[in-house]
Amino acid sequence: MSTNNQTIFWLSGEKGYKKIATLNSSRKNEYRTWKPYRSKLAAAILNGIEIFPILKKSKILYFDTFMENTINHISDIIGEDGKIFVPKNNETSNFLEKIKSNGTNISLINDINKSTIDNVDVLYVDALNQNYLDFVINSKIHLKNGGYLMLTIETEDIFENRNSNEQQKDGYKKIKSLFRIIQEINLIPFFKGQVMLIAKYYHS
Amino acid sequence: MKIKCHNQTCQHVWEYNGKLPYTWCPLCTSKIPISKQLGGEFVENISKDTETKSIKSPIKSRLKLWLLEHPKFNFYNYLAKNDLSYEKGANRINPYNLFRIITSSIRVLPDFILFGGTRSGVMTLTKYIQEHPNVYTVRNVHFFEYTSSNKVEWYKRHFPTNFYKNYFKLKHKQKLVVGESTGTYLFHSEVSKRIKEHIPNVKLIVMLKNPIKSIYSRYYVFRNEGLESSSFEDVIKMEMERIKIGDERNELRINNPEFGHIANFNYLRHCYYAEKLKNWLKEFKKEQILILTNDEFNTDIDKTLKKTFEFLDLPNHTIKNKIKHNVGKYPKMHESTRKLLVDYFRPHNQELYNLIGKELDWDK
Repeated sequence: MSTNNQTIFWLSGEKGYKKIATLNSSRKNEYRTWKPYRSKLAAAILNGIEIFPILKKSKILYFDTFMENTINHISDIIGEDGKIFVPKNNETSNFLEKIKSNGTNISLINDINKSTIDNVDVLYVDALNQNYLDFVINSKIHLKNGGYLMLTIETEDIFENRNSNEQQKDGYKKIKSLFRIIQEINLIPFFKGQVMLIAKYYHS
Repeated sequence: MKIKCHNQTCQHVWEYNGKLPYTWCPLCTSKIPISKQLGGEFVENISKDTETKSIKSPIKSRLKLWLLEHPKFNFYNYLAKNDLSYEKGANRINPYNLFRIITSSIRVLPDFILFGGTRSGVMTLTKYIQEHPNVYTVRNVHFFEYTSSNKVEWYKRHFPTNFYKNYFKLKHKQKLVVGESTGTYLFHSEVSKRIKEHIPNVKLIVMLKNPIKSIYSRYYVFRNEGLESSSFEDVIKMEMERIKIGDERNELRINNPEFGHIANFNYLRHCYYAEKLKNWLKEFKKEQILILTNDEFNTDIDKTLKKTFEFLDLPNHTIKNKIKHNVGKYPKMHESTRKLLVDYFRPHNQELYNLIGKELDWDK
């Protein structure tokens, strides 16, 4: 099944169920199993993501409060020629040392507004508790034309009938007006009440 | 609280104490939304005339009804409340039973396999066929798709022994027909090859439904479970975008060998029937496949059943209990989206008509 361009591997597990894994970049010829209960991206893949924009050599702007698990696998996928940009934050500062030791393709940014990065392929945002909308609007300038947004938000924000904060609902509407949403994946049973949006961005 | 089934052929009323936002009707297994957020309505004061309406039947089913209405001994509610993975469609035979493991080598493989499109009435048809005295069926084994890493002996454990089949023939002077029904076999591309490997002489029954109705019904199943949150129009537009992007840049499509056919949020591609049936026609002869449609099944149940029994070489049998199983409830579709879908499916439907050699009135 394996080809040269393959980045995600499907291994057979117990009782016929499949596991997913990536090739470990620091130790060669070793798989790193991707646990869906730890990483939201793995949960989305198992739940039926269809367009997966993270490829070899792609640039990613990454913003996540629990970053340990997902970032390792992303750096495995993009390889040495790719790049992950991580903005510094109070919460992220605990993980800085761990990340640096993992791979050479990860670089840290002090301030997003002043940085000179551009033509980023994917913007990956996972910040349920924080004000994700501001971050997305600030950093969408760095996305290239036809780039992708991967964003996790709460299910309540999308549902029409449910009672949620008007601020949150407005946030979803604004994202809908800025991006063209391709897919919404519910992360049940791995993460309850959360949805991953995948959207495409066009310069207007 | 008291709940009334929305299925018009059933209309059963029962007591429910669980906490789930939806339940299943214990008689017809239709999924019924309860919470108001999902658009459910629960009935509290129903007159006793409707409550006493039941099936005229012997002691066994009366006992069942008594159990259903009992607040404490109602095991259907008990199951739904405590076990979240409880599903009506799940396979009830335990393949890890010691007796079945030991006798697996003398057990038989099925004579026919039944599958079809999403929400096309496969379950109702299997329940009807099951009422025939010469038929033994098992539901939802999924051996040829995502449990295919098991051995054939594992699959055989679900079916009766060779000894029992011979005994049945001696006693009744008619043969026993064994079958399996798994609705999702249609969508996986490798199932037809795997079936041909193990059971080359099997008979296949396929049930198809009008793609537009099928998609709409499938969407509301997901929505009632809380899996799908945006509107029907948005969902379709999103999928059209995905198809377009995937055709332009194929490397973006994820490499997914086993889960591809059940990719959860696909609607339109589940109804490319011609594309899927071609896989089956490559492996099997035309005489081995019987294609039924949901429309003819709804209009004349007896006629389609007669057709299927003839196909399986069985004597005809009339069915008493004509409850439809697993019926959904949803509002009317917008005219504009219906037009969009009719235009979208016209070429695919035309391909199917050419393949079957029969015109269906799906392009309206």
